[in-house]
Amino acid sequence: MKQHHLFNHMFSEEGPEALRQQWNEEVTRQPDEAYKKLNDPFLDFPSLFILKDDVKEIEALSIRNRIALMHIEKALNVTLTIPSPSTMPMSNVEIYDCHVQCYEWMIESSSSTLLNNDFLYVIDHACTYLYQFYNEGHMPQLIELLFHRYRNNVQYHYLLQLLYDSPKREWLLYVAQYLYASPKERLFAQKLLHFIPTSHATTLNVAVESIEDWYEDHHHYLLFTGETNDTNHDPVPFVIHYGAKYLGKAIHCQTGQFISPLSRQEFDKAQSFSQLSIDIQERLSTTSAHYRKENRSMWREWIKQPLSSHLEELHIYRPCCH
Amino acid sequence: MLVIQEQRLTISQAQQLSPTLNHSQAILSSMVNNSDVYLFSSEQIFRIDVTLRSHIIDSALTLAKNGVNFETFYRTKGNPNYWEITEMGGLQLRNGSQPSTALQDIFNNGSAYGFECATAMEIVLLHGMLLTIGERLFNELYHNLYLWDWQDIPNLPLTIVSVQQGDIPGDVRYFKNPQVSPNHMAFQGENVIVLPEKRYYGHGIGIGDHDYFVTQLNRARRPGATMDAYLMPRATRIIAERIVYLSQSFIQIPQPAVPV
Repeated sequence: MKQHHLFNHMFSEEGPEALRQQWNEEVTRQPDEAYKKLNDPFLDFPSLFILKDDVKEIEALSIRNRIALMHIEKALNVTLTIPSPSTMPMSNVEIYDCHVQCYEWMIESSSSTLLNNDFLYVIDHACTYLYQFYNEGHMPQLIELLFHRYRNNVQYHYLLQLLYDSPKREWLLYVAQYLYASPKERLFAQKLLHFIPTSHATTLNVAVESIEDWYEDHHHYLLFTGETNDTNHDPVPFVIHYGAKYLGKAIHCQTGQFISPLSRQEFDKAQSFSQLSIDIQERLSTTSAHYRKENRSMWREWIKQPLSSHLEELHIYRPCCH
Repeated sequence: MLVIQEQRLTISQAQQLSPTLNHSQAILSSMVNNSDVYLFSSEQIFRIDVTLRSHIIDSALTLAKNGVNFETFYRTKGNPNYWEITEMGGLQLRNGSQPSTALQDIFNNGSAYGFECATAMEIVLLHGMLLTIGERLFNELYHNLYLWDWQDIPNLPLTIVSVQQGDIPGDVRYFKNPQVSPNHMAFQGENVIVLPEKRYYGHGIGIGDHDYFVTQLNRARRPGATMDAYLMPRATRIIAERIVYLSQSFIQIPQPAVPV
């Protein structure tokens, strides 16, 4: 249906100027019909973006178009004087919902369009609102938008920053699927996932499977760091909380707090564990996770033993512990 | 704690080995008094590290007062005599331009430039390199210079380390603003160069202490925000050992003031 919308078709087949010309002809000849087409749910956002200066004062604009034009106004710091949607009889919740739906539409219907820098900037802003402020939006869509920009050598810094800034760990798995894409995209995906061991495996299937295995083994223990491509050249967005992995207890990704409460013994053990050097923490947590995977009931007995006996088992001698 | 060739150094021993530069005293004090270990495999690498850090601080202080603007990658500006603006908002060295001259132009002609804070960090680090290794080697190493975000710059070996007890002047760090307003995304974080006396330089915000940066970023938070901006726990620094390797036969490092 979308391709059948005359304005979308004009834009994609004949370009922005042809669309503006079409609009001006239609609105002169049959204004009501023109407004109907403009407010049609199947209109794509790039078509509205092209027509923004021609339609900004129309009273009959749909609420979605008004919100989108106000967003353009704010992002580009231009004055379009759009009639505000707040004059419409809606509750705050409905207005909120309209904003979320509008941003989803702007991003979804623009996924393959790279019109110009102003347009990309507006879409970047829409993504920030949707993914970071409203905490909505589909991660695969953001990732495809990012890879589309990367593929076409246009601005992607802020989209990548948005991705890194998302504590939704599953984005790692979506990015892993791009290891199957073109060599250029594969290198990009590898760079994003560099902190996952074996993400550089020689065969693609092995690399993707290794990432999926690693995710399955660690996602309960991943701690969000907040590092992005703005922070340094080699960001590590998630690190393993070794104490959680050792105890087999899931943590909250952003706060690092244990989701289920620890017993007194577990708490003391976690405290002592956190005093160990990182390499010892890593070894102990790996051993614990291995036992846990091999035989859960035996592991339950093993983890009840004091930390000192686990250290002894690994031939690590230091004064401590619970 | 400062350790060179497995020997722990006092401040006076470090002073004897170090070149005398504008900020070497502050750098040495930080290294010696810090409970993190600063380990160097040779005196030469130690001298390069101190020299680089001191020059990075000089470069940051110069950039802070030369009138260069903050711009997002969508509006990067540069002197067209030396730089071409790419689709990504990066500064690509023009064919035929000398990297050292083009880089120096950013410091001499600041009002012609506008860029993001990550680009500013690359510029400061590279300028520190220029002051350390000299024009000839710099022009050889960076003949195809491209300044953008924190992408890998060939021949600028960087490492990222956890800073447990405190940073060293010349490090790059990052203040993050986790509850930034979507209307002020330029303030979602700030890359900074660590300066002596617990101060920082951030492009667009200026020079101040820890609280100054937190206050500036907090002002751009969303209404009802409950989390302060904070300094992230890792630092970026140039790997001095690799610079020695890259520049083995060219480098002219200032010598210690007192023979040892």
